[in-house]
Amino acid sequence: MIIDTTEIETINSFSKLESLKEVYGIIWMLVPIVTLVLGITIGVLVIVWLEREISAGIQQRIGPEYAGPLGILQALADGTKLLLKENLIPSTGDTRLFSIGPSIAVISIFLSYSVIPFGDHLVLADLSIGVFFWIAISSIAPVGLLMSGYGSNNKYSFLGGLRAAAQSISYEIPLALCVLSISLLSNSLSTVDIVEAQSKYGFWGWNLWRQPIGFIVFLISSLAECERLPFDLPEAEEELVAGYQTEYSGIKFGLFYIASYLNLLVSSLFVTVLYLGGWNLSIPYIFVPDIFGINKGGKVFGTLIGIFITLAKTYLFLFIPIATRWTLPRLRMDQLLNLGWKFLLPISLGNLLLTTSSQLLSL
Amino acid sequence: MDLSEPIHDFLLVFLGSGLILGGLGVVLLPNPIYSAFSLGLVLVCTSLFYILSNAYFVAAAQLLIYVGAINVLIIFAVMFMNGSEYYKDFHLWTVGDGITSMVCISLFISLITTISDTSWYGIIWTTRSNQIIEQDFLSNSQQIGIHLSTDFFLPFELISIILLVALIGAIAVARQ
Repeated sequence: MIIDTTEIETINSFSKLESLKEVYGIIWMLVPIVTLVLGITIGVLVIVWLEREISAGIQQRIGPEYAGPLGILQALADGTKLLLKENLIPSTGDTRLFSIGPSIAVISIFLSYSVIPFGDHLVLADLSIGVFFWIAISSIAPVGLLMSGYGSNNKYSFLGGLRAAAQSISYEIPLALCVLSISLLSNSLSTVDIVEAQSKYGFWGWNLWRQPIGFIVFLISSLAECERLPFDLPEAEEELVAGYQTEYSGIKFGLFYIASYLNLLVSSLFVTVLYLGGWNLSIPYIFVPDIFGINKGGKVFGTLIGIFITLAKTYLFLFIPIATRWTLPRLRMDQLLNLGWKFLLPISLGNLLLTTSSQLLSL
Repeated sequence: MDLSEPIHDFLLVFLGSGLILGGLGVVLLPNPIYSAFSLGLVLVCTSLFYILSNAYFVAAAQLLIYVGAINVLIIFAVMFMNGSEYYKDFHLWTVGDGITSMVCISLFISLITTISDTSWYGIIWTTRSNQIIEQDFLSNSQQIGIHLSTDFFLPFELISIILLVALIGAIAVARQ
């Protein structure tokens, strides 16, 4: 009898230990996610600051200067202001749809960060479908925009939501075709494999040189997906006040604002991963792991270097979309749809055909 | 996804309840806009079910096609109707409703009875992926590609021809 009770006690303590381990496991799963979300938020603040500084430079103004050194804290100040503002809800609108809309838009973009490799195999979820997951997830965002456009009970918002949905559906097809040709080149959809396929010849191994047409089409259609000038028709000020954001104020407007910059950041990160060699140093004959050895400290340092290289490439690339925004005029709606369906779609199909035939002939 | 069993079960129950509630919402909500959005919820829950059972490619395809394209188009179409006209003369029970519910219930019962006869009925949800798939060296999407271009080549081509015909028909209707 005594032996039995002790046995039961040991079993109980063991199961307790198991459950504790499980709890630890769940917490341990949450740590990288929270770190990633924090990092992304800081990245968005950096983009907002960069946009202000670059636009000031283009328009020969000074730009933000009082909030922190060089105005670094200006974006943070804007965010705090949005948090403290009154949250207005249109009285004849649909309150539930009005409040759910922005969160769907933000969540769907946040999810796509989980497949981006920031360093050597430093990725939240190395899915075998990697890039395809991004394309699939980013197609949910128009549902949120339509929802908020309808829930506002405002003609400008409604039109803006419809325009956003039409634009993102029509530009998703060339985007997906470009991604398809990249994945044909590297024989995989996984983002890690795509980066590793470009690591051979340093700078000259980038997919940019093997897919120049694809790169340009990807650039144009990712600008359209982010709804930035010259494709910011859903929120065109002169025609639609502010599009689907017209009725929003306070932190809900802030969510839309964050969502647009998150989208910009994720598409330039994907440009880095797909076309610019990802975390590799990209100078031929120098390999980062060889320099720092295989010991633990060297590995950590190598990972940090990888993250630094990825972010440096991303932010250097971001100069192109930001400069585009402040130099080019806006397209008309018919021009936008013509460009999408009659120019980019055939070009990307032809690019896919070229890539497939070169893969078949194993060039 | 190789999760431990309690978390797996919890997610299963959570997604299942989302699926059932969303499905009921599609049928029962009087406002067609809400029905369209809850259809979106149902489709997203289905895709998460696929992720839970390790079918990532099918999950992503489900999201891309059903949520990103079809559901958005349904919402598009529903938004152009004037919502208030439709639920003013809303009768609780008509003959059409009776016939529809009879057909749906008989479909449901026949599906339930056929599922228990299939070969894959015994597979438990928590069975690990490598126990099901014998060919470990091929990824899921590669296997789908191989099957589409060998065993299921004719149906695949036929479906694409049907889609092309529908596309041409839509253009012909739109030009008039």
